[in-house]
Amino acid sequence: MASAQAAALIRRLTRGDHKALGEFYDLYSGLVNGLAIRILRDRAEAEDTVQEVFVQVWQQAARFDPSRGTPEAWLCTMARTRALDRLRKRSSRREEPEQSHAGSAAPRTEEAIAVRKALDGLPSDQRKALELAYYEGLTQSEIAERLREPLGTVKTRIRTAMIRLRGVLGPSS
Amino acid sequence: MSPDRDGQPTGEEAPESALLALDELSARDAGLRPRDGLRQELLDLADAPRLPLDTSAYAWEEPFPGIRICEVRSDPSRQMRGCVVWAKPGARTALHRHLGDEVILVLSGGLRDERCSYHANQICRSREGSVHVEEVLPGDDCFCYVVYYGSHEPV
Repeated sequence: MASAQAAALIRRLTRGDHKALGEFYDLYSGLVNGLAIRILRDRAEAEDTVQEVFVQVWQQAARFDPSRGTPEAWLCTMARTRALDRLRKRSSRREEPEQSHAGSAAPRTEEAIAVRKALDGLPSDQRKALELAYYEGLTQSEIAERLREPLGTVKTRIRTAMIRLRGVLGPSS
Repeated sequence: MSPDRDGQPTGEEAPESALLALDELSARDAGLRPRDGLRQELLDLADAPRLPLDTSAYAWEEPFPGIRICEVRSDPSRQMRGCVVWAKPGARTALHRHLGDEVILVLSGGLRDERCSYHANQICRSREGSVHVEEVLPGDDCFCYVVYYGSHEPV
């Protein structure tokens, strides 16, 4: 139901409907902010990321292609890209976040709890490799270097982790 | 700034399928709401003009050499002013203190302040009380949409 509502809002966004932007924000700001906080561990930077994402949605709503994924995944991709850009900028300035927040808020939906359980159920080496790829944007080579493991081992861990998570995502994945 | 990761696997990155799948997983978490007030700020930023800009359509003022500004929106009840800014490469503001928040959406080109540089589609936020100088990066003209929540004063 949320996706149908989102699709209708995106159509209104392409027509420049300001009210639709507010409604879209109400629907998804928590999702985007939560992901940004998990990556940046800084609420202020996360909120700037939220604004950048929704401004991008406003400007590029017409580019959303439902055949490539859900609105939620589209938002997460944008949020992660922008948050990782900020993280790299911060690293080059060697700054630490003002607030340390591990993004450990409890998931709020049954489905999210199931997803979190599945992630927590992964062997720690597989979960660690996935987290480094996703939340820090490291390449597989960089992960291998960080973990001091062979590249082939890292690739296998990520592939195996995704196979194990496939049951949670469902057959469409 | 980095383009959207539309999923062109390079072989060096984690498999596109893994990252996209994790996006789907993240999407199932309700997350944490941002602070109140961010919503209205977003709606204020949505008034930013689309590129390309017709620079002849604006009544420009030039508060600093090479920096032109035109107020296009205001809401006195919130001390909000939305302004289009057109600045030449290398142009600088004077050192100033913000008496309310300032949110800059870079439309094209780039600028920097003491913290870092900002490019197209990035936001530069200065909090009330902050002091800084903004400078346009070399190269292209910089167009921004700036929302002020209060005034500023020279330092």
